Parts: sequence; C-alpha cells; structure tokens
Amino acid sequence: MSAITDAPAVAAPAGRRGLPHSRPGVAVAIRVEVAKLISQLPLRIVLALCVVVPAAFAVIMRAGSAHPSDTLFGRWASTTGFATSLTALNWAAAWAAPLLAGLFAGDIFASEDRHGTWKTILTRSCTRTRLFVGKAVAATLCIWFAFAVIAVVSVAASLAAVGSAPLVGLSGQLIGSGRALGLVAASWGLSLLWISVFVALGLLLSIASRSGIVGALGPLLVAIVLQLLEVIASGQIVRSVLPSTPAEAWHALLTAPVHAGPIVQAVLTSVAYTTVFAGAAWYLLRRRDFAGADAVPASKRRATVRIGIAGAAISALVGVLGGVGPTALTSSRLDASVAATFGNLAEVRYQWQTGAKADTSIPWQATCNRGAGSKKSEGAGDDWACTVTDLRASDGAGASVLDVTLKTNGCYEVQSPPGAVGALYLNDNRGRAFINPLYAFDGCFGTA
Amino acid sequence: MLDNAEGPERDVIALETSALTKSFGDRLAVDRIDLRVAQGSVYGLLGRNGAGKTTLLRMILGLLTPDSGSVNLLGRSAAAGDVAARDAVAGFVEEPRFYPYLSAQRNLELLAKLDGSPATLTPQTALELVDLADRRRDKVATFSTGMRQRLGLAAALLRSPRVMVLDEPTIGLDPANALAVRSQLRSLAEGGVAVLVSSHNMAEVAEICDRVLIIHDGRTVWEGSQASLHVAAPAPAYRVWTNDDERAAALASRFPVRVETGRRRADGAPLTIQADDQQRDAFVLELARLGVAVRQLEPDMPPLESLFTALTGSVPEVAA
Repeated sequence: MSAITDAPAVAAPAGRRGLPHSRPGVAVAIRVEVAKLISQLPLRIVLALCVVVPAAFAVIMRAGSAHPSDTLFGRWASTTGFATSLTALNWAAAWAAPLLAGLFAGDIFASEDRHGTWKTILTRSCTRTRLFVGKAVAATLCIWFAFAVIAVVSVAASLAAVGSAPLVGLSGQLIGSGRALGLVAASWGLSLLWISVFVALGLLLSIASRSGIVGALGPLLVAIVLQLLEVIASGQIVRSVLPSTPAEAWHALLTAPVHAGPIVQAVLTSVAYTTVFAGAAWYLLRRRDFAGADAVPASKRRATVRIGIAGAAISALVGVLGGVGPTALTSSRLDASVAATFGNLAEVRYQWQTGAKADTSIPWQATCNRGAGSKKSEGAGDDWACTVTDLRASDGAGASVLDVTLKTNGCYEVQSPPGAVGALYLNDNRGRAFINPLYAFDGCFGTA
Repeated sequence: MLDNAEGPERDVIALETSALTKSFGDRLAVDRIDLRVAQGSVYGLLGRNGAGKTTLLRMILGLLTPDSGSVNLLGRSAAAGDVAARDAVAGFVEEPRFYPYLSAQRNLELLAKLDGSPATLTPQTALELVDLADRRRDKVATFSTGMRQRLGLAAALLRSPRVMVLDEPTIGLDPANALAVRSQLRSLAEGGVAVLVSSHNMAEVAEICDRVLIIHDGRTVWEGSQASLHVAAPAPAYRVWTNDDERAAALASRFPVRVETGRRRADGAPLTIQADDQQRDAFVLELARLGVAVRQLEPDMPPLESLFTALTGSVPEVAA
C-alpha cells in the first residue's frame, strides 16, 4: 500500500473562506437518516417480513380450516377479505407497531452511541435540533411506510385470497364492499396515530438509555404492560389517560352509527403522548454532554435502571387506580348495543337466507345483567347474560338468553344458545351453506 | 506557566481557549487551560493518557460544555453545540468512528451532506488524498484501525477547514502513512490552516509542531515554542558505551554530570550521563586521556522528552 498522498490541493483550504456557508436544513438531515436506516440489513429484513407475514396470513385464512374467533373480526376472517385484513390489524396494532417503533426509532439514537458516531456527526454543520428532527421524522416515515406496506399487502392479499364479500360491522350492520374497503383503509390509517406514540416513546428510550436493546425492546415491553393495564383498568379516569386508547379507536369506524368520541379521544391522546415523549427526548439530547466512550457504560446503566424504576412505578400506580372512578361499562349501554347488534344480525341472517331485504322495523330489546356473584350490573366480565326479546311477541316466545363476555374496552363477545338462533351453519334458499351471524358475534360500544 | 514572551506573535489567532475548565463529578479533568493557535501553525498538545487532552479537544469541538472558560474560533465565541461558529473547523477525537454498514465513500457522502455547502473536495478526492480510493466501496466494518484513522482524516479534509483539531492522528498508522500524515499537517499549516494536534508521541510533536502545551492532571505545566523548549528542557542525556565501564563510571562520578549506572538497559548501554555540551565534551576528553575508549555515545532523550519527563514524572512512549 502506498503512503497517503501529500497533495498540495488540501494545503489551501479556500473552500469555506469568504463564501457564504449554507448549513443543511431539516430535509437534508431526514434524507441522511433515511439513507442510513434503509442501508441496514436487519431493517431490510423487517421490511421484507412486512410483505411476507400479512400475505401468508391471508393465504392461511383462505384455507379456512381455522379462524381466530377470539380476535375482533376473526370469526369472519375466512369469509371476507375485509375481516381478514381487520383481524391482521388487531395484531399489527398490538405487536407490529411497538416492534417497528422499537427497531426503527428505539435504535436510531442509541446506534450512534453503539457505533461511537455522535462525535462524527456533531462536528459537522448540522445543529443538534435539526439532527433530532431529522432522525425523528426519518424514523416515523420508515415506520409508517412499513406499517403502510403491511396494510396494503394485507388488504390486497386478503381480498385476493379470501374475497370481497360484504363485511359484518361491530353493530351487526352489513357493510357493502366499496364502503368496507374505505373503512378498512381508514382503520389502518387511524392506527398510524397509535404508532406515533410508540415512535416518540422509542426515541425517548433511545436517547435516555443510550442502549439499542432498551430502545428496541422498550416499546414492546410497554405495549405488553399496557395490554395488561387495559385488562385491569375499567375506570373512566385511568382509561382516559392510558396511551393505549388510540390502538382501538378504529373500532368506532365500524359501528353504526360511527362514534366520533373515541376517535377524538385517540387524536388528543396520541398528540399529547407524542408531544410529551418527543419533547422529553429533544430536551435530553439538547443538554447531553458527549464525554466519550469511557463515560458511557455507567451512564447507560444508571439511565436504564431509572427508566425501569419509573416505568414500574407508573404501571403500579395505574394498576392500583385502574378501577377508580365511574365506568362506561354499564348495563344500560350494553342493553342498547346488544339489542341493536342482535337486530341488525337478524336482518343479515334473513337477507343471506332468503336473498330479500328484512323488515327493518322489527323492534328488539335486550336486558343485560351480571351473574349472581356480582353485586353491581356494570364492569367487565364473562358472567353477563342478556335476554333479547322480539317485542312483537307479546307472550315472550321470541326471547333468547345470550352469554356475553364484556371487555374493558367496551367490546363484547356473544355466544347464543343454538336452540334459540339456529346452528353455526345454515343453508340459504338455494341450499348453499353460510355462517349463522347470530350464532356467535362481536360488538363494541366504546368507552369514550 | 504560559510562555508568551518569546517568539513573534503570529498574525491571526484562529483558535483560543481561555481558562477552560471541565469536571466530571469530583474529578477535575481540565483546569483553566489557556491556549492560542495561530493561523498557519501546528500546535501540539502533549500529555499522558488521562491528562485531559481529549476532554479539552471535545470542548473545542463543541461536544462538551465547559464548566467555565471560553472557546474562541476565528474571532467568534463558540459555545458548545454552536455549529455556526465551527463551520470552518474539522477534526476528530479519539479513534474516528463511522457507520460500519456503509462504504467509505457513502460515509463521506452523508457527512458531506451534513456539512452543507459549499464544499471544495468531493468524497472521492478526499479518499484519494488519504490513499483509500481503491477501498472506497468497501464497508467500513472491514477497515483496520489505521484505515479508519485515514478515513477520519479524509472526513476532516472534506470540510476544507481553517482550523483542524486532531486527536492522535497517527495512532495505528504504519510508519510510511504516519510520516505522510505529519507531512500533510505541515502542508495544511503552510496553506494557512491552524492545526491543533494532541499526541503522546514526542518525536511527532517535536517534528511538526511550532508550539507545544504540556498538560498534566488537567493543568498546563508548560507552554511555549520549540525554540523555548530547548532552553527550558533539562540537560540532555547520553548513553555511553566504553571498553571499561567501571573506570568510566568512576570518572563520571567526579564530573558535574548526572550519572545512571548499575543496571543494564534494554539497549545494552551500561552508562547514561546527563550533561550539557561542555560537560559532555570534557568527560569524553578525560576518558580518552585515561585510556578508556568511547565506543559509542548517543543522545538518550530529546529535549522535549526530557522536559516532559521532568514535568510529568513519566517516561513518554517511544516514537513510532
């Protein structure tokens, strides 16, 4: 190897002398960060999985041997591609969002610590604030892109594999294919709000911990804790401040009529948490001293321990206060929702069976109560029983008693007695089998 | 003791620190350091490991916020994180680091984007200057320490700086490339760049630096030009080989020279004397008069090393 060139060209550094220097803007910082992100093999593999996994799920649902009936829309996942995609959305919002946030955002600052490159980029002409914005926006764009890939592949593969039959909504209403496509797309789009919370959380953990492991796994851990808190927290006070609210806001789009409350709450919650997390991350980066590799390990350990203690304390507090305050899970709300959903599904069954429109004026009434062990008829539980009555039958002959499991998020799962609503599979006038929508169904009335 | 008395002042001071101080917890890493680097000069920062050199350079590059004191770059006060004040400053601290999953050229392209405009050097040209053009498409993960060091220099050159701050720039380089880097730093200075270079390689500092600051436990223990160094340095030491070491040592003890005997050094010299030129000549003549042949006599420690050793109480690293 020859020695370094002793070139006189560099001896006269006239490049920056006397010339106005334009510093790079945020757009440049974003482009640089995006280029770095997409150059990393693990992240390319993640993007490939975003294509493969939802497509594979659609193919499996087409086989129709089993469907995830414990997941919202899962019982219809083998019947219509819209339900297949919404089933995938349940899992994507629960697991893919925090995973993607951890992988892209949780490591974007910590990787500079891991590679020791802070000193390389901070001695260029880009300010810390612009670098922060560049990294935050780049991570957000990449995660949104990955999530959009999941959404597009999921919808396209599901429709191709399972079909585009009308969708049964969360109030039992039948949604035509065109409108269903719009609502499914809107549901995926609304979930981007929820992802933004995790992106900001990933950025904060990445900066605070300086550890790629904490940054990458932190959002996933928080998602698990939030799901546990979701199960515990039935009180309106705690539920209104839980950052997991936006994860299920899309349910509201698929009820009839559409409830704006959960969507507005999701927007406000997302904006608030995103602002707080991102603001804290920016503040920490702004005031950080880059003292060198020897100063990092102790700081990392201290930061990780502090984050862990703070997270555990907040979770414990939320858990303890989870039941405090009034609850939206009341018998009157459940009565109204179950009656409407049952009535709508009865129409759907009649339509599928006969090919004709049902009489939409049939009045249904539901009376819901909890089992003998419960003191009050409110709150989440699997011991709800709803008596649904066709009000035209004055002698009560049209009454059916349904087993209802009500969840803390305002969604419920109904199991009907086969003797009252018929078997799981019924035949239409032409002898073709179809799933009896009243046999078992889901509904939501929200908690906002 | 800041020595500003001798030697003509350079025209323009490009880099100046004033009472720069930084502590980490209870440990005072840098204690009221003043230095002034003139345009077109190479300024050496000498000190043992942990003396505070890198902390000082980090404050100059804006990576660390000083507890007190100030940094002035090209006539402008430069607070930590103030990139505008550092538009014409380039360099690195400790080992230069890059994104290992990107090629050398891609690393420089992205850094060039973060430099804004205008730039006079392309990444390719910068790589050619450090003899890495043929490895430009290779991922940095495959680079040796020396190659990363050269890439660090290329990244600094990319900014066409007026002030260059380099932390041990020749560490990890083979002798040929180390020599070339030293030559390049001199070329930069001749072109008007103010170069601040830290090292614990005495020969390197003695070879390329116009002024030197010796830092010990975070404090300046000596500062001055190369010329003043020879005045301040203790009497030089010499290793002596004779045909009768016992008699030579006995004679030496009668001379006003400092003598080290009784242990054989790694280089085989049995006797080391510390004497000025006059004392050394008299000692050699007296040995000859007594019939003791001097087989070999060579300088043991250059003035800078002698001074460094006297001030810091440590033996410096042997020059590469």
